[in-house]
Amino acid sequence: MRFVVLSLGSPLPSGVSLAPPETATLVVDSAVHPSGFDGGLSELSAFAVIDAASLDEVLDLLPPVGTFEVRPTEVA
Amino acid sequence: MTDALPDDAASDAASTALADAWRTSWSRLIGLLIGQYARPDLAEDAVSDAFEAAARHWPVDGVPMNTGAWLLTAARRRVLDRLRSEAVHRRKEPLMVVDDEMRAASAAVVDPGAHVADEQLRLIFACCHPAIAPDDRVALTLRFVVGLTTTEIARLLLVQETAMAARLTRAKKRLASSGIPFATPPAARLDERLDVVATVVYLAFTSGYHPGVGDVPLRVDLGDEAIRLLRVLDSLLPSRPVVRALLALLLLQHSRRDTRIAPDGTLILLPDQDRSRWHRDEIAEGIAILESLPSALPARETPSGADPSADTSVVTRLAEEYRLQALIAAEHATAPTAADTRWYVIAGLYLQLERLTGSPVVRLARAVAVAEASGPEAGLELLDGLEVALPRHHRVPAVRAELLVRAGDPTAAAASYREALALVTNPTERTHLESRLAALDLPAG
Repeated sequence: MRFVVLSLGSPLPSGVSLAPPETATLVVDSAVHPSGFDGGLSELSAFAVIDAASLDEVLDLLPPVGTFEVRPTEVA
Repeated sequence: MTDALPDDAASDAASTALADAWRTSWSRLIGLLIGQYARPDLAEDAVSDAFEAAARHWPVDGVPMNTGAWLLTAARRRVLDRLRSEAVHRRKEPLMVVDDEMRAASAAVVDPGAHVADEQLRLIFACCHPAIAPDDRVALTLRFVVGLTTTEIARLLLVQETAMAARLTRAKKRLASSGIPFATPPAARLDERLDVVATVVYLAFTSGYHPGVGDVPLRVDLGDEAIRLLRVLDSLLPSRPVVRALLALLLLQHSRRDTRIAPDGTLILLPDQDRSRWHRDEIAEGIAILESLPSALPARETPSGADPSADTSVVTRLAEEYRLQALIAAEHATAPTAADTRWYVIAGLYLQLERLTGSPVVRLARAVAVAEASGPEAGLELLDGLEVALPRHHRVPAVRAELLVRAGDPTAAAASYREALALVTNPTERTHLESRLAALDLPAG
């Protein structure tokens, strides 16, 4: 089995740290919004870590329908 | 040569050179520095500092041969100082190691193919990125691209200066940290992004006309700046319908700038403006652009599967909206007198605009045009239901009152004026409505 551990508020040893919530971009059915997802964590259904040169490249990879939050990882 | 000049001549030369450099170099310098260091926050401070240094040095040392290069050198030195002191600071916090090498690497991935002339364009697209909140796009563009100060932007957008400073700080942080590219969008996204840019430019333009701003000591006319920006866009991305249509619209609207405000500061409405003082050359240019535009209507609705940007110069709905608005402005601009206005043409254009946008505000404007073309009763018919669509909008009862007066029903007009007075907030408009109500010839009893 594989597990995903989400850490809320504290760093995770050997984990991937997210940039702060102010850096988040929300995409709902291809429409771009300048904020993060403000619903509950229970909505979370999948995640991906993507290497890309910019936010636009990530937007191009997203399915046309669905709700996605895109956030850079913390540079560390 | 400059040292031979008397002191105040030297300082005149310096301030002229500074103003020129600010107009031609501000956004290019910011663009260049962001392109090189990928730090929008530092770029802006550095360019500001470089201009401050120029204001100190040029009157004394003389104006340099190449002002742009002088400013770039000064600004670059400033960025490097800041990066160095940040690196020193970080060495004391070993957990957050972001070294210059990494920064150089991230700067290098920024659109490597583009050449320097496009820096300004890339800057505009970055400031107007959809991942930035709409209000912030306007503020960022006025700061980074036009070069206004926080104080000036706050006054123009009617926001407290501290709130504007906070907003700009937040927006800059977002620009620097959300992964927003400093690049011209790829062809598939270009038209969609150009629409966002056009909206920002139009908002900047209209905020320059905002009534109640008072005597803002602005260094620039925002109308001129918006038009200049569109010309830059038009030269770098030629023949884009949305850019051409908006340029025509702004030229036509701006051509009336000298006649909109009376010496006492009150607004002069269109029919009462002195048409001999409208800028004829700008009107002619606006009309020439309109004549060269494709009039193809956009598809009624874009199916979500199809890619609306596949055609490189697709006429977006926004482009068509601006084109129709510009055609309406052109009708007003070319009527020899207010009485000669071809209202039936304007009414037809508003009908097209209403079909395109479905906007009740457009219907209100159409009702006014139809009343002028076909009589007040026809206009009144179009007002039906607008109070529901535009609640709290004093213009609906105000227009209704005006048309009722013309239709010969002063009693009903008085009721509508009172309704409008209950909703109006602007003191100038309140005074206007009160005088209209007082002038009514109401039947006795």
